[in-house]
Amino acid sequence: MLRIPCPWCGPRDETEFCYGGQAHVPYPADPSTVDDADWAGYLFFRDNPKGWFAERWMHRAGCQRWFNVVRHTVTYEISASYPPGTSRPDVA
Amino acid sequence: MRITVDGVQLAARPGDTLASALLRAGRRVLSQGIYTGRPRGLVSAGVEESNVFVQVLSGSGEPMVRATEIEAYDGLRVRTLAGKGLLPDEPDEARYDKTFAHTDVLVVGGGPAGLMAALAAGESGARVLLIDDQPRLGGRLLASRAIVDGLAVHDWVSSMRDRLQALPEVTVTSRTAVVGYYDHNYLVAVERRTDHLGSAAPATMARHRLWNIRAGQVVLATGAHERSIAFADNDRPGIMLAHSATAYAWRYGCRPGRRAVVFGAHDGALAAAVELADAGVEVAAVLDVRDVVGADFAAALARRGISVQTGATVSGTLADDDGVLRAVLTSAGETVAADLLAVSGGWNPAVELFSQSGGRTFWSEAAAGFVPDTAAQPTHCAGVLTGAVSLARVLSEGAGAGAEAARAAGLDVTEPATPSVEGELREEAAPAAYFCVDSAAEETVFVDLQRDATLHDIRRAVGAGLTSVEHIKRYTTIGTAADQGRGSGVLAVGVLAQLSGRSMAEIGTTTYRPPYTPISFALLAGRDRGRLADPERVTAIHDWHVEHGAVFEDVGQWKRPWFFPRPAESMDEAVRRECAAARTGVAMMDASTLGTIELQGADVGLLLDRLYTNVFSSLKIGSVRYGVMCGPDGMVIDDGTTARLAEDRWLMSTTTGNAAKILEWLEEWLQTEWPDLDVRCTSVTDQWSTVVLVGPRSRDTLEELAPELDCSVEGFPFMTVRQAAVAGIPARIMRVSFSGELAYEITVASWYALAVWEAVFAAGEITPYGTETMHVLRAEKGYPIVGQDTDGTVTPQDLGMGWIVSKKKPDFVGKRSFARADTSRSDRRQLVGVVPVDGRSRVAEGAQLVSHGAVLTQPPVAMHGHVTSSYHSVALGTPFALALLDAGASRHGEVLDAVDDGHATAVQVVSPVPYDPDGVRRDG
Amino acid sequence: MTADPGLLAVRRGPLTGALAAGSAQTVAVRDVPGRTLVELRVATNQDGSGAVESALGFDLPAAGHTSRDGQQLAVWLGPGWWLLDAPAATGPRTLEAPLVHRLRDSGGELSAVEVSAGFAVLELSGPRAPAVLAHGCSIDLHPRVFGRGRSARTMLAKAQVVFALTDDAPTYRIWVRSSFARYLVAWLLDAATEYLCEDPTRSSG
Repeated sequence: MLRIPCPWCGPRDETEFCYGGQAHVPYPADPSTVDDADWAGYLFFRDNPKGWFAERWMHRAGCQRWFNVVRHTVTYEISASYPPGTSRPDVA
Repeated sequence: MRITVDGVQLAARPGDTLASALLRAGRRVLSQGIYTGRPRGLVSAGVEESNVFVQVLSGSGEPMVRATEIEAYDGLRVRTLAGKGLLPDEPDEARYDKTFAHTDVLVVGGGPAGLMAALAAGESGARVLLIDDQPRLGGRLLASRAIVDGLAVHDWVSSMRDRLQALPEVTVTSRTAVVGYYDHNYLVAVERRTDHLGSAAPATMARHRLWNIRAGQVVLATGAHERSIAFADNDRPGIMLAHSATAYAWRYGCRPGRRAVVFGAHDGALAAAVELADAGVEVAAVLDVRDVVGADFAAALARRGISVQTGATVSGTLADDDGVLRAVLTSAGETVAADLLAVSGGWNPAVELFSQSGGRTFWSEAAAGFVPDTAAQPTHCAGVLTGAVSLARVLSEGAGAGAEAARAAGLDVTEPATPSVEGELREEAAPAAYFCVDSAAEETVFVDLQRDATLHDIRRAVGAGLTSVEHIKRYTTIGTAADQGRGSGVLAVGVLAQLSGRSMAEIGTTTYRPPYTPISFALLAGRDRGRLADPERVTAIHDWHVEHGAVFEDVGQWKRPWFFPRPAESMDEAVRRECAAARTGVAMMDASTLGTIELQGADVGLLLDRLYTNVFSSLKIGSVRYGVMCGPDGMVIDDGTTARLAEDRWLMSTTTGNAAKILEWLEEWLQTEWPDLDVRCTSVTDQWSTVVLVGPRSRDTLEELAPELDCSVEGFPFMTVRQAAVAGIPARIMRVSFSGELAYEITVASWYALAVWEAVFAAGEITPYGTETMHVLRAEKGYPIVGQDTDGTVTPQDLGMGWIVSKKKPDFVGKRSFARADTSRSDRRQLVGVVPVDGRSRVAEGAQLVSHGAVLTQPPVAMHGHVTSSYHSVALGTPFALALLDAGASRHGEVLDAVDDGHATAVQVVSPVPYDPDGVRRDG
Repeated sequence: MTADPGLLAVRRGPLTGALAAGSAQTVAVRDVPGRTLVELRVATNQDGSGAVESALGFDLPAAGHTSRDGQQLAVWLGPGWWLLDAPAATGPRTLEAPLVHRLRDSGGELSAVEVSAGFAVLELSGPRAPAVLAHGCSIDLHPRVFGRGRSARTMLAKAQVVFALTDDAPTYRIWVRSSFARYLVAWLLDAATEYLCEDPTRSSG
């Protein structure tokens, strides 16, 4: 079980969180101008790298805040945890 | 102490295991090969035992346990097993619990290395948890005669225990096995707390405890398991691992045999021969596969009149009539009479936990074993686990690892002095990597005793073209028994290396997976059984429902009244009566489980406009609006009503099962996409309780209970909200309807819910109803239930609710997807009503809709849709169902078959709103 | 102002009459009924808590902490989010307690929502209280980590809770949603089974 560092509550067990998939996939500013292929990409397609991955988590059992985590998908090492709206830190 | 084995009483001594008591009693044949039926006896003294398993009958019982791991107690009763466990017939009434533990440093293993590691870390002030699986600390030291710091080993271990106990932040837990090492230094251990107490075990005390441990740093001092050597007829009772034989002699005080042959491939085997000789066992021969052996050992044996035959092996064994060892055949052609053959092929460092943690191992020629390489987590290895042999080195490695771990945990450390060691022979000759004595009788050369798998099986697997050890494991089943390959894994790799000419490093080991030792389902369940299995959420009115005979339905974790049967009334009868009351008189329901969220802020209207398909910002204060929410893919995720209580205060209701999900949905958009919106959400589901008053006469009841409130159609119109005292209690009243009838939702703080409920009930002939009636009433009006009539592939348009999708708003979540080709298809599954053609048959929920008269026995049968809700409609006088049907909106009138379990019922497709389609009843 | 006697007579908390167990020498669980509870949220993108703090009369706590003023307690729930736990409200009862109106009128960009009936308030105290919690709570409760004045919002068994260490008995005040209260109490009493039977005069090991 992962130990996930919540930016506000500190490290907690993975069971307190829910997963939100790839980070930094914003809702398009004006969906009506997005063509079908790009809209399908927004809805259905996400990266699935072997290695470092920026992903979203929400501290469901705690402060109920969304945040981003940079995690290695092979070793599960977590190198960064940062609030939404901030850019991915230059780690790993 | 008296113990009973297979109905026969035996004596046991304090400190005995079941195995040592059996051995002392001269019981040699204790099991048999699971497939071969060959007699088997004890092969070890510990966790590596692969032959003798018993079913424990006394106490809480246990279907299958190693005899070497059961502490004897007065009254212990067991039954020996022939390879397979037996499940008990009775439910297990013992308590099992769990606990969480946190520590700076976790030390696994209470042998010499673990004790030193715990001391080094503990003296730094670190929080230390030392876990050992034995009843007594000391590990293999307990069977040693070395002098440590001038003390006999037992006294030294006691002094170490005292020093550790004097440190306030050090916790020592015995009889506890670490069974899993997971990510981020999360480890799971099993503590056996009462098994050794027998009938003296307190009933209130949890028998086993599951430890969930989060450690900053982990020191693994897990030691090693002795490895055997395979040879012809190597499975006879009397053939035992050499250091298990010495443990029986020196730790348990029972002689493992009278006349022994020792067979080994490293100096440790010679050391065992010395120990056996000194314990009074006649050592008839010592065979060593090596040409060069340690001079110290050879000399020590020579002093005892024992010579070592080098370059020698065991070529076979002979048994007496019971199948018990009586003689050993040597490679020199001798037949040596013996009742004990002590075998030691070397040490397998116990890398299981290290491997589980993600650490890699490598084959060490020097140690002739797989040892830890690089750690994948904050893990420090020490002692015999690393391939260390001498006690002095084991102690110093332990201290070093403990200090290193405490330093890594951020503490200042002064490493304790390494204790002096006397009386230990120096191992100086290299061990041999030797695994198997080739033999023509290869079907008797056992590699995995518990699986009865042999050299022959491995040769056949190799012959079949298998090269990977993982494949060979699965082909031969070697390593898949209860010992999970502790006895057979590395041996099998060695045999494979010998057969294929490849190196140990090249072949590698199979993957070690948790649990290290078996773990019971009862322990995994812990206290989460019976009524604690899952929380039962109840409303403030729950006890009233119980007292009035409600039958309950689980809705998520909620207990909701399903219906309120009168004596001798069936469910159908009760629901008919409740429906009739709601349609013709007045009825009441506890709707406190509906999710409620209070939203405050200047931008709530804007947020709702973006998340609901329809417009909310225009809603007047004091009014209520129904809305549907979709995901970005345009599929319905929830529906409900939202009231505007003040300019900047709104109250949203969600379906019962979706309360948490919708609050999270709002928060997700607010936090991640629109943090600048002035909106804050608070869950108030539990704060408020709601009594729904339904029926054409509900206005009369409300007028009576709330005399100050203008209840007229004009004074309190549909979809508005009022505040007034109801039965003297401050209440919020909404005129909304989920049944099509005149209805009021009376909401009070949950403290007063029971008082209001009872006041309403006392106000006249009011019928309480449950969720089943609620469903019938709403289905008759074609109101879908999200999650029952929808499944994540349904748009508002599919539900016939295109009217609720705004064309004016520039955007809302889901809007863009309504322009996708797929959501625009005219043949999408759409909500319809279906009624049985015969007017009587109720179709099953989940029934498939197929063409009328379709031949079901000739697949494929085209599926047109499926039934989502089905009830008997009191209002219509016939059964009625809702269904999702391909292009359903344009197929009203068509006849189809509804198929359930091979049985077809002809149904007609109708409008999903069969009752009061013009909505004239909602004003009463 | 006095409490409305008519309402007090019919008020029923989620644990009314259901709870008083244990001995303070090992571990005890008790219901703390009738508290006024308010969830307070201020905009997280600006410092909106100053106005609230003056309306409240004491400072709001930082992440993972509580602050108190006499009988009033504030518990951190999340960024810009607190639970206020105050003595029972007095005076004629409306849908909301007077504290809610006072906070709303403080002028900050905030929401104040009464949740007095939405939670049960429990106290778990005694030397064995940390051991009882540790049976179902994955938070590190060691005094070095979780001392007096600390709070956490987390899972206790299968219920979401907020709890705070309020004294060194130690006493943990636990807030749990009303609908989960009976489950949690049943769980706590079950978890405490071993300790409730202990002889407090013997070593607490």
